[in-house]
Amino acid sequence: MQDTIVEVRNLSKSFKNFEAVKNISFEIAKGSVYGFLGQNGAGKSTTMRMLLSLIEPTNGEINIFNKPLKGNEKYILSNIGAIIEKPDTYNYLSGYENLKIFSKIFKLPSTKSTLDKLLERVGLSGRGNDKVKSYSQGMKQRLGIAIALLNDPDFIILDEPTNGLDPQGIADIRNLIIHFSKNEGKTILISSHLINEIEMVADSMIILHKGEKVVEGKVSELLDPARTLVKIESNNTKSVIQIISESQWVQHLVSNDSLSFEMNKNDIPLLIKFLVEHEIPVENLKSNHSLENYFLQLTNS
Amino acid sequence: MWTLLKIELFKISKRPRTYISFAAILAIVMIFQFAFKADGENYMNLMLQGINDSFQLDKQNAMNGYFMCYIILNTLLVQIPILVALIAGDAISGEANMGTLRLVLTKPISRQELLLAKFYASIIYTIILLLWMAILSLGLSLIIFGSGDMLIFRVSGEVSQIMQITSDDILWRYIAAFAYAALALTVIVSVAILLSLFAENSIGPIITTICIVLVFTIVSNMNVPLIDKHIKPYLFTSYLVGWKGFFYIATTAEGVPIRGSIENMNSIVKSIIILVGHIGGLFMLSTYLFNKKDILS
Amino acid sequence: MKYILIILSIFFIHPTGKTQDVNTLMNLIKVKLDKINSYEALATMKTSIAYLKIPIAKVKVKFKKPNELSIQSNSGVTFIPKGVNAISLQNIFSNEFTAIDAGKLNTKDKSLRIIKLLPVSQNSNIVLSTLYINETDLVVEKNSTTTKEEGTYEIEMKYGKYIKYGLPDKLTFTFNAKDYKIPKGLTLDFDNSSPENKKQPQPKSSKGTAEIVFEKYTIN
Repeated sequence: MQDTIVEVRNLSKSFKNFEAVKNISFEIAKGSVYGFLGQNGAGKSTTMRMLLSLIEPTNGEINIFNKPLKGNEKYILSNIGAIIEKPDTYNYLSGYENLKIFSKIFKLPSTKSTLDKLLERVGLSGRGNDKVKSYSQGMKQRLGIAIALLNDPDFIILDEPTNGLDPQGIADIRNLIIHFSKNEGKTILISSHLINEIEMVADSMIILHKGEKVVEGKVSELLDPARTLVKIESNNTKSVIQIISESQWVQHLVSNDSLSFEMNKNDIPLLIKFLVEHEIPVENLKSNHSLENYFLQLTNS
Repeated sequence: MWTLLKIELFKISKRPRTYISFAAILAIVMIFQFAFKADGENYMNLMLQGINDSFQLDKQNAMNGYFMCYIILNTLLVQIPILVALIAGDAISGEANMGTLRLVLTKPISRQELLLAKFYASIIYTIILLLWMAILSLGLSLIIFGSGDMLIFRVSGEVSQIMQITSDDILWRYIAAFAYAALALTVIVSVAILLSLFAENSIGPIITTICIVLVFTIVSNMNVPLIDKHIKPYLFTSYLVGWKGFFYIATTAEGVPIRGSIENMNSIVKSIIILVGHIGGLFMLSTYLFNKKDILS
Repeated sequence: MKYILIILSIFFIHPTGKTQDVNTLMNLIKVKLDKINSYEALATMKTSIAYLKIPIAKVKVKFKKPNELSIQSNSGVTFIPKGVNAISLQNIFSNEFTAIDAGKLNTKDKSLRIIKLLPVSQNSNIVLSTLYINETDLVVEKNSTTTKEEGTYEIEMKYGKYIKYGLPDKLTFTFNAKDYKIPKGLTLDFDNSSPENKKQPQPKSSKGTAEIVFEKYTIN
């Protein structure tokens, strides 16, 4: 059995008349990347803030590194690196000065060479003396990550780390997360409102909606290719359904009045072949995972 | 704690707004000194209305550095809470606004430590501000206007009085007065920090602190018997001018000032206790609220 | 006023023989004082008036014939009552006057001759001076003078070492002063609940005294 780094039981948080998180439980295994998926207001940030003792839970239990968070905040936080929402730092200070401040909090050496190495690691070499207010969004994100990594934490919490970044920045962050997880054995909790972002990096995930857990599990199982949803658009849906109903593909048909199939992703070429052989005119074919579909429905609702 | 305090002081030292206060004090003090150098006699004549007919007095001698400092303090100690609020009101709210509060609080430091560090840093800033004021209003005034005996013009109840303190009996009073002022301004720091807990930008707490000080000061100085008796004792601003108590020299039965004496030390001690009580109460309340606060910024 | 006093004094007080005595006495005093060309004296001055809380001042009293007297502060700020130069008796003799005998004042240890002086010139600031003279030592022990500009003042003198020059060791100058009121709102005072000040209403006009104790005269 894998070691558990985070154990959350029946966690709830209410703000006056609003219940932001409703009785959620999950566990994060050591060395894994765990994804929080949910639209804005789903409760992702609130939960992360509770894990960082920024918000006091109304109910429930949080254990991190096998210790209850309450009463062990200092010990636990000294081993966590986090970026919550935006990577805000002191913008009237330089990159160096920001790193220096947080090094001192962790009682770490803050020589120029140590800080230079850190800046190099996050791709900010040569910009340490510049004021943060002159940084681009991507550079601020990198500095935020540098600060989060200062104490060489075992557990890293990244709340929507790719928000506001260009495609290159998004790819860089993704690679960094994979690197920390695979090469450095760090445990990472990442949140996003984009399923593919979670899919690309996470081992396990939880979908939150309006503060409630919708589904939780391993990404490989939840996003199993056997449950791919394929949607075909044709100008003569009725006759196509007629042809399909007489073939082996009928077992994959989701409903009798639309051309939607749930099938293994690997079988899509066979379906296309069948359609071509039967001279069925296809205007469009879309495939996505049923969970993604479900998630999109949630988002649109 | 010491590390956190150093960090807070470093942050304060790096913010341009910190230096606005120093520049403001320099400007105000120099304007005062220039105005009094140019036309101080008119002010003296105004204060000495009625005395001029009965006494001759070397006004030039009376308009010395010690007197100047008293006048400057009299005016500036009403304004200086604004400058203190500028920094203390920003303590928590400024970080909330910048988004750094959540960053700092995800580091292994307790909220109480952070609040205490910010509180101490604001007090140190206040003390440095007062030292700057002392250098300018006392040091520079003594250079420009020279030394000499000091006249204190005072209205106590219905009685107008002029008290004279000899030049060798003044300096310790100023040291005590500045120390008292530091304590009084620490109350402003406490109010501003408490208010800064509730806001996510620093303008709110700064303006609110200033408004509280202004309204309380106006009420404190209303001279309405009902207010004097029932409201004034409960307003901390009534005790902000307590530094003057060090200049109210005791006199013999014949009205001769007693060197090294204070007319009513008990009232100063009482004021100090009230101010310390305010500081303690406000700080404890701030700590309690900050510990309970959900950081949503 | 002056004329009424003259008429009154003619009717009620003076047999002519005594007038001669009075003038002789005044002359003797004048001669005694005339011996001094100038003097400088170190002194302490304690000014007392309800609204002033000021320390005893060290002053230098300078006199030069005929009647130039000044009080200078040795250090610090000194409140010097206006009209204090009247403490110089030479001042009396600087104007012509009519001396009128007003009898004697007997105290338990001595008897003082009372002389009223009326200036001859109508332009004189002095309206009337009453002198109490110690005839044995030829010194004036008390002078009560009514002036046009400074009201009435009183000078009491105690003599000691310098009695032969007619210079006092201690002098008390009593004068009238106006009420003092600081314009409201200028001072922003700290209410230290001093009970002494709370109960005292400010008098409309005050009597002040300046007590000068001479320590050392340098007489020329």
